[in-house]
Amino acid sequence: MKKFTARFLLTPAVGSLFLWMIVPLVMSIYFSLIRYNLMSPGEHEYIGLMNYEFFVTDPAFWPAVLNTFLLIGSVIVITLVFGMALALLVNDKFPGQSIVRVLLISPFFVMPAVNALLWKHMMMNPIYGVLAQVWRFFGAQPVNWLESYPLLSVIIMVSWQWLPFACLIFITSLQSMDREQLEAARMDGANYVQQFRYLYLPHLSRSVAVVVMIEMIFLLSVFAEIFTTTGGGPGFASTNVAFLIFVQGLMNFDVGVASAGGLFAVLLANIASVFLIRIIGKSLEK
Amino acid sequence: MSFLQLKNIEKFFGDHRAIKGVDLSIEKGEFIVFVGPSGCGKSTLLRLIAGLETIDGGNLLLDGKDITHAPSSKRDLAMVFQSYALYPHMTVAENMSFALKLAGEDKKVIKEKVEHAAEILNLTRYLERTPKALSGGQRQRVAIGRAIVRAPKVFLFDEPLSNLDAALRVQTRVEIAKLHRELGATTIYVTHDQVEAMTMADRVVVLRDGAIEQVGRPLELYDRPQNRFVAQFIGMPQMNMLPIGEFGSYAESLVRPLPVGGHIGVRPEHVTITNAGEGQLLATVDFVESLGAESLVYATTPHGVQVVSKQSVRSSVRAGDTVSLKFEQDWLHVFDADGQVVSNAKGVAK
Ligand SMILES: Nc1ncnc2c1ncn2[C@@H]1O[C@H](COP(=O)(O)OP(=O)(O)O)[C@@H](O)[C@H]1O
Ligand SMILES: [Mg+2]
Repeated sequence: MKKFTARFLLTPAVGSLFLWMIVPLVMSIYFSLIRYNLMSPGEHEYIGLMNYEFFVTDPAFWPAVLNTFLLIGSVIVITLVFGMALALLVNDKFPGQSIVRVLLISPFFVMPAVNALLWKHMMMNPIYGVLAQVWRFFGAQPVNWLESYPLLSVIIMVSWQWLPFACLIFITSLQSMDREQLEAARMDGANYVQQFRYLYLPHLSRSVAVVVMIEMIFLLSVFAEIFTTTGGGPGFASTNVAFLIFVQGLMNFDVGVASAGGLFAVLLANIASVFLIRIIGKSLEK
Repeated sequence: MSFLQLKNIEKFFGDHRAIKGVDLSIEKGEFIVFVGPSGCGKSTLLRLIAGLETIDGGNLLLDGKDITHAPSSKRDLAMVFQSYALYPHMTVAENMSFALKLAGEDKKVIKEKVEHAAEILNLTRYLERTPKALSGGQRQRVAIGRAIVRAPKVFLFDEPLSNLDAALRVQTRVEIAKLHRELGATTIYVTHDQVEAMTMADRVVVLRDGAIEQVGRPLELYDRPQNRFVAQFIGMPQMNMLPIGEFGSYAESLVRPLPVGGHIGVRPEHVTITNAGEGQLLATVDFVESLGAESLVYATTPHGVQVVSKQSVRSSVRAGDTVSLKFEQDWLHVFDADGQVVSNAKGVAK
């Protein structure tokens, strides 16, 4: 009886969430199975898995998949390494600590599109960008970032955006680090590297898992940075799956193929999360 | 020359002088207890010895070597922390072998040493567990094991029993004392509990406000306190302290010249309750605590000083009774106005 009441009271929340998820999903599945191009009106006849075939055989498909993984992987590695280093750096007391911490966190509050524009114009512009000035100062030829290293440029922008997130999680976690354990390690003769290896790293493993999981979810759908800077190019050099879906749906006006691509992305996310949960679930259980 | 020597050790936290020039010599194999009220600087002094805080003044010598500014890992000391500070991600065996592993000790030797320590501490069955899967008492023993494995020159304990329940505390106290007897290791033990100090120590160091009040064997402190603070800190219930004025002319028969503004101290077991007229002071009984084997009678003199009497017979007095307090003349300590002792009880010498 009690169980029933509980279930009953949960129903509105669960129900609305379910609808929220199931309606777009079912619609996507439906669109992915019909011929549906906004430029060619007429019958929307059933065409089986042909939309999927179009999507997968698109010349941009494999580069996009590869770019997606490269983007996610690099950003995660960069934010983990630098996030941890920064968090450890600002963990010890120093004057102005709280201000520095706030400054460290602030890039997270910048909108992705604004972030991309800032990097595109202020930092990476080959003529008046800050990086160009630095290159010139050292007598080097300024780099045209967005054309020469399009994917790397996107990776840098996205990493800058997500570094504060990782940093914040690590800073919070470090605050619960036991001081006496560190002192015991010091007396046991552990130097800083050994303290990091045997005390900090195990202590932070949970936070690493959290950062990897959350970034994975959000980075699968990186779009604004690509749209506002490289536009996926040159060629497909900085096109990821999310951007490819956008190209199909809103530039080629092919809703059917775009939906098939969307469902492929869902599949990709699921495969990734299965692996992730396998690996990370273990570290979370402890 | 003594084994561990503190010479005029000082420590400042900002403007706060936490340790005010401590001198102390500790012999090899001694069990030293630092005792004092909370905040008096016991932990700070221990941490200075351990090298976890920097020494701001004075010198620290261990076994003839000056270690005042040596890093803690080079001091050859091991510490048991109040929170045990076990490494949560390592098993018991890994916890105990960590220092040796970092020192690059041979694997076989490490294993032997860990197993030996585990045997002494009854931990053999738990070697592969993580600290989380252990009870408080077991964690405590792992922390001690971690220290034993290193075979340090000095063991340092910072209130190691304060996280245990009362029964386990007594048991562990006995075990640590036994361990000390077996290993014969020089030990410094910090506690705020005078019972631990009295039962375990070879010598007790009483601290107050970052300075040593007195150093001595437990009974020496009990019998010959050098000042009012030590007199009242050691002993339960604490020593009665009566202004000399209370006693009128009687005091003159005790000391001459009378210290103006001084006090007479007498332990509760040397105060007896008698019928009015037989004792030296009249008092009104506040309440009586009967503990079975003994009774504590709390009474207040006309000047408002509370006096405790401990009697091994069951007392028939009740709250509100007027009684006479009889002080055993051989067991009176006299303190001057500054709280320093003028004369200790004569009874001790006998
Ligand atoms: N890291 C520190 N910074 C500032 N003051 C401290 C620090 N550690 C201890 N103190 C101060 O030094 C005094 C002694 O502290 P402590 O040695 O911990 O006392 P105990 O262990 O005897 O209770 C206290 O007044 C405490 O506030
Ligand atoms: Mg303390």
